[in-house]
Amino acid sequence: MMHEPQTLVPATQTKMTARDVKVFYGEKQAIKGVSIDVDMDNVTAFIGPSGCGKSTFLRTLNRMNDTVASARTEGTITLDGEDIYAPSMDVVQLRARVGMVFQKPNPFPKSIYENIAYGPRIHGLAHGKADLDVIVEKSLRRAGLWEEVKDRLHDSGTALSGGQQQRLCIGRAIAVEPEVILMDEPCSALDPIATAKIEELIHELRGRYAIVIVTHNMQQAARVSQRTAFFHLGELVEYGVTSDIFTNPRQERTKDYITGRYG
Amino acid sequence: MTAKRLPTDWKSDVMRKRIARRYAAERRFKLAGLFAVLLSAAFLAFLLFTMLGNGLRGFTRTEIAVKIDFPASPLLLDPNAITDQSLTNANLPMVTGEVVKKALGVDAEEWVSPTAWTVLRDKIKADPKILSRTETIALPASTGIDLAVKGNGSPEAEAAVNRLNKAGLLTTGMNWNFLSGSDGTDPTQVGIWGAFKGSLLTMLVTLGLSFPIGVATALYLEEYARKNWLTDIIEVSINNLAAVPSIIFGLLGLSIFLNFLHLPRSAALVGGMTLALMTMPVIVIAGRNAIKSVPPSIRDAALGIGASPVQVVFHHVLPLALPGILTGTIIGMARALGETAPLLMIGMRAFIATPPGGITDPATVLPVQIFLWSDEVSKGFVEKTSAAIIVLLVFLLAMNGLAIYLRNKFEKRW
Amino acid sequence: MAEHTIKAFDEEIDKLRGLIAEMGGRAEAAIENAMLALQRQDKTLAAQVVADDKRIDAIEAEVEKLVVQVIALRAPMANDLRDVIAALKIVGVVERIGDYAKNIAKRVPLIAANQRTLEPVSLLPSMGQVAAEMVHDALNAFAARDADLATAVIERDTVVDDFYNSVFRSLVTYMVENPKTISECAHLLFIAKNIERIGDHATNVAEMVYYAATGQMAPERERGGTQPLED
Repeated sequence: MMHEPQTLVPATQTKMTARDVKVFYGEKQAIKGVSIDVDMDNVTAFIGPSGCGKSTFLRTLNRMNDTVASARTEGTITLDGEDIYAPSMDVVQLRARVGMVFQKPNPFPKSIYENIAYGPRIHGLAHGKADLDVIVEKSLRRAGLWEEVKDRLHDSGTALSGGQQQRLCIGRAIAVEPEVILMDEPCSALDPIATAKIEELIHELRGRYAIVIVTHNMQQAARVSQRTAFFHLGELVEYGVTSDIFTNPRQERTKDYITGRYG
Repeated sequence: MTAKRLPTDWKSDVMRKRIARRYAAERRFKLAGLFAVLLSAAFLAFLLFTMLGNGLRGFTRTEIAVKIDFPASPLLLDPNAITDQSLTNANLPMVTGEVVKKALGVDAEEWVSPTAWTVLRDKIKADPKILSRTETIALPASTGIDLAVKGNGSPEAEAAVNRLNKAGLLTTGMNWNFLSGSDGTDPTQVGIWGAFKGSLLTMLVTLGLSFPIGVATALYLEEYARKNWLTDIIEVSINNLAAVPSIIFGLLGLSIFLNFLHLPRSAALVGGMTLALMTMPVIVIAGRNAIKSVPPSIRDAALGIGASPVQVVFHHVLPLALPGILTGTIIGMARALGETAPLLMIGMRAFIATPPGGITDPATVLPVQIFLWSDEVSKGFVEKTSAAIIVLLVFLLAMNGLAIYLRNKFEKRW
Repeated sequence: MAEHTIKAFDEEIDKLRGLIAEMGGRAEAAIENAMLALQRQDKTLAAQVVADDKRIDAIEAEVEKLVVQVIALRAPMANDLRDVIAALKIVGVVERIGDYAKNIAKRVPLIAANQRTLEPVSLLPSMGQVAAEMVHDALNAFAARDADLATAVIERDTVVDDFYNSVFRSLVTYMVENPKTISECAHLLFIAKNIERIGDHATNVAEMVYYAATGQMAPERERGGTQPLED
């Protein structure tokens, strides 16, 4: 159990910090004192076996656990130095700054245009239709979807293929100009080609947004991230540079998991 | 390595018998279902057939052509001074009787309807010049003649009908007055419009009260209420309310709305409020189910993008739950439309001769009107009752049709 | 160490190690037989060593194929990956050790042709012994994933280098004193060089074993002997 972050490498531009975070579902403790930094320039991957708490911890970063009645979070999580669990922090604004992409693509049952435009509209980021059009095009371009859908922006978002839907969800998250994007196993429902496109997209988004990706596919973590954190039974076992973790991990548990000797 | 498993012989006799038994069971199940459907259809067909058979005749009326020589008649009216007062003073009922006797015979007075004079009045009002010439006017026949024409009358009436037919003076046609007139004493002259308008107003009040309250309750219970003992009690209570016999709501309406709040008795307002109490639990239950069936992934997506709880509900949950809510609403409203017992308790059983003007005027509703007419002594009311039932059924069909249309329009696939 | 969840992975790793152990054993035998053939001037034994080298080459090809397969199909990580890469490199080095032994054996007939007993020949067997032990220990270290044993092998390379330097001086002196034996002595020089190279290769194997076991590069060592080459 670590109370200090493992800084094996100098942090570049730290965006979010977590110190001694604990999460309880009723009586059961799901996260046991995790401390970690998320920085702007490196994609961070959370890996670990099922039930290790990586998704739960991810959801503490944008307070999505608030929607679960029995969940209780302790510890400090800051975004640009501000404590996100402080009473003065507006959850709605927080979630605009820290966006999320889910495991199963979940576009709104509206048109492609509306899917992207909804976020900017409710946050008041656009001043008129022309503004919205610009935002929609920019987001779809950044999500790598513009060329495929520019002629059918008013078709239903749910009529797209799985990979396209997921890119639409990424575009939707980007449209509100977040600072951090959290991705919870974004490719687990997609075929290899769609997965590769999303991984390439993550590579392009790197640096502009701080990205954290939870994945149970170790090869994906190895391909996509520069920093990897290994979770096990609610604890952060090891955190470091991705190539080090996968060629020479320090902890026995990490080694057992990534070499397939786990369980 | 385990021993090689012997492959199952699917073609053996035992297996074949199993397959045959399975197919037989499937066939039996299908036949049972078909039988159930046919039985229900038969009952429905019987109902429709009987109703249509009895009721269609209620939509027709009989008229007798009477030749009236106005200058020679005992009518004393100045063509240039036709006012309501002068018309009343002219004693048209007596005049009508006289001209009929003159045209058709001494006993012909009872062949025309007692309210036939209103036809004369309307004709004179429309064209005062009629008073200076002879005109053949179709006067409505009395119930006796009307029944005889439909093959149901007394022997004297039958004889009269034969005579009139030989003289070519009898006509039958569509009784438009049935749809536009109100209740009355003469079965040939009664109309359904009063009750129809009463039903319409009552339904509007019911919808206006139960829909917003029901939907808001469903939303609160599903989205905001915490799961504790209080919420459980509310849930159980609402579920039970939906099963309460409707007459109890009538008692509730009587004691609270009429006796305590002193609202106007027999008004559409009170009827609507009573029925709203009854319909609300249905809407809440249907609404909760519809809201529950909205996938949590949509909520997560909306929350994840920074929508506030209110925005999540109104921009995402409600539009997707709307088809289910609408279905529940229409089911509730259809039930309310056909309710008689609670409305009888709050007094919507009086004899209303004019259609209600607003929701605070005395009114009656279609089911109550049917009930009242079915109680009447005169044989002419039998067909009117069935005709009213047909109107009620058409109203119900129209409402259900509207519901299905609205639901399909709002149905969005996700 | 715990076993892999996928048993076939463990079986393949075991097969890999088995092949390398076999290859190492044959290489050791080749060195010993070559030195024996040199001592006894036994041409038949020498020919045997040359022929047996083919088997060593065949094992190298088999191991390479297996390694590529394991990397493609199992995506090994961490220590598994280092083990597999080390196995690939070691097998190439051991094949060269086998080639050096073959080279020594090839020179035996050329030396024995004149049926003369040469003094310096007696220096070589002990040198060969040290080199053979280094090979033996390096492969043992690989089998046991023993970093300490590997380090010991690395340190022993200076012994072989010193040996070579002294043999070189002795042979040069002998050649100057017995010019008629120059051609045989030249062969002996080459044989000494081959043994020294075997020592170097054994050290390479040990360095790879160290990396596979620890994930770190072996500490820098002094190359060459402790004594200067020139007189």
